[in-house]
Amino acid sequence: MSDFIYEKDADGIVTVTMDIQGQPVNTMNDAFISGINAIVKRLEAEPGITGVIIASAKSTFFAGGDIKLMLSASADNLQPWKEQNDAIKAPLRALESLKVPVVAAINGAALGGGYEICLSCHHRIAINGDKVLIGLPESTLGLLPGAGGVIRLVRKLGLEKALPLLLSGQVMKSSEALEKGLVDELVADRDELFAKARAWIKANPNFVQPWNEKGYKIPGGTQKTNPAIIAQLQSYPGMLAKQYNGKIPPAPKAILSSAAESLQVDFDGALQIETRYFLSLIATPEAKERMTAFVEKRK
Amino acid sequence: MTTEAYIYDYVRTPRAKGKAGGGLNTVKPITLLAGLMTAIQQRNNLDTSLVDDIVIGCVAPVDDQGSDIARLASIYAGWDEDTPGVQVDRFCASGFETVNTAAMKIRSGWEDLVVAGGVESMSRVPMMSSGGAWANDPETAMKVQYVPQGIGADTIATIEGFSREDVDRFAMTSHHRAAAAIKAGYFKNTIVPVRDQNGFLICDTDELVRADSSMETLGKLKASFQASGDLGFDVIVQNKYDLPSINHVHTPGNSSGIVDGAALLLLGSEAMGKRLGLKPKGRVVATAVVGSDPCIMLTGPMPATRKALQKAGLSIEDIDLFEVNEAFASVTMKFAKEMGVSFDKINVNGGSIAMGHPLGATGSMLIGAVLDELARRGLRYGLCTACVGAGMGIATIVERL
Repeated sequence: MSDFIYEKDADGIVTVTMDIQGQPVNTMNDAFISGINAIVKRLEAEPGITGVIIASAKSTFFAGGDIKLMLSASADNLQPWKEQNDAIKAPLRALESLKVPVVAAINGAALGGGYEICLSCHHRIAINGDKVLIGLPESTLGLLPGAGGVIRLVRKLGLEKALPLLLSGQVMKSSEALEKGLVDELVADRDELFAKARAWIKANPNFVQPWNEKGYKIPGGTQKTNPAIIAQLQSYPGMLAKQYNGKIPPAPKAILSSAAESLQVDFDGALQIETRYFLSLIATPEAKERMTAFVEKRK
Repeated sequence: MTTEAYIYDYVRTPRAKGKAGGGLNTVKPITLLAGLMTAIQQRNNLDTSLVDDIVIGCVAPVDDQGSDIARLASIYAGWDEDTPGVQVDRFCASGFETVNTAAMKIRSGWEDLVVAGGVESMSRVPMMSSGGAWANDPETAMKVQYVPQGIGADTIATIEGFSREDVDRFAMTSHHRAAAAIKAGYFKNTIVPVRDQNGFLICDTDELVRADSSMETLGKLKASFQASGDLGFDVIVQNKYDLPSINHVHTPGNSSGIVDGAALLLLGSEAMGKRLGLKPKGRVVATAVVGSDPCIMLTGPMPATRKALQKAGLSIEDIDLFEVNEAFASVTMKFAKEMGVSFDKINVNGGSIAMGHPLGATGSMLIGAVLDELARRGLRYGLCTACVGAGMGIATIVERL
């Protein structure tokens, strides 16, 4: 049994099926990190490849970060967490930079890190269903989406639409995710999921991730190009103060700050800024408390 | 009796490539400046409530650098809220202007402890971001005979007969000197490594310096200002200075580099230094600022130097070391030629061609650098000068103590 199943069909489409062994759901643990790095290297070297489908063998797509593991983080020693974050970000960056179209085949819940994988794909197709939950709930754990989620959601939706989602950590079923632009297509079942994924790959053989395109502009603009963005960024500290009765916790502060700063630099610079804010959160008392509650509830 | 203005400390950031991917591009200018404020505070165990003012040079005070970054960085750094701050723009002289102003505040006796410096994140807030009538309003531009600075630099080279090889050789020397200084660790005590909020290192070395700079690689670069000259700006200087043609010798390789960086100096009266137990590195002997031909624009260092020397009662021979900002190679070369100063005394550890010219901060960096080198060599007087946009010159003479 393997953590990642790699299958190439006659059309040159490679399906990568995530199936992290020994656990009911896929999470961003060591097995995932070594697996995704190896898979992306293999995809980069694969001859005759025409497209990639990222899928899951579990009943869900991907559960997100390994919360139990993250509970061991200590502010005194963030180095291993920095290395781990780099080792997650790098293959996802390489995945979206492949010269062939990459589709996320979302069969079930894709939350947190799971949805960040989807954001690193070029196209997201999800099964329509109440259990197919989509979103970046990191803020509810006292964290931020540190695998490129802040950066990619802002660049996909624009700051105005992305910030409320990032700050609230709202999770939604796939039909709502379609309306909000978090997924691109809905399908009825697993068969249609893969049929549509193949069809999209064939229809978009030269697709390039929008933010990898020369001349790409962030939807809704930036501080420099749109006064409305400045107006929003000026309002948020007041709105958050009201929401948290004057004591804004570290996570919303870091989410707002990283999203705002991400507009001012290029994509790779933005990823670095996100990493810094993410690391500043993982060992805070707020994150520990919320992550502990999450783990205990799941038991 | 006049109170002397002493310089008690000097710190700077590394100078990083001023573009996306550059070592400091992901760091906000306010964070760069606040980081140095923390360093100055910690190095001197400074009670920041005693600082009378913070004077910060910044040439593009808009966007990330707008709204009086001196004051904002101070409260961001957690300095005493009673300590004010002001942002200053005198183009490339801004980082000199702040030190000179601080010295004047102290010598007047009206303030006792002043922080001076500058910041420029050229990757985030590009040159000319603050607009202005000089280049952007045609009626003004035509009236004041505006030409791009590089045309002025090429005009100086043409008038003085500096060949492409001459200016490239000067640039190569700047790189070699800077590389040798870095290798010898000369900047170690003054560069404050930039770290992120978790303490991880972001940048600790000047990025532009090339130890392997050669005439061959420099010679391959294309002239930067040929196109704007051909567009028609050459005609303006040809008519004004009666030149048959302009020799476009300046390239990105022999002009100052575009970088991100910041610098801070701590200045105070002798009494304040004694009260705080600080040992002075030097004193500001004299300052000068002048206007000069705004069209050729870059010949201000000579009159500024003469004025400062006169105020100081010194002659050019009294000066042991010079820092003449390498805005363009021809500017520094013209200074050496006209003032009769040997290159052995000028920019001995390299200059802005090698390390870059973070507009608002450079002057402060040069003043700090000359004091450090005077101390290393056991010498006495240093003079720092720069050409300035729209035709100005500035100079600061310091004495090592």
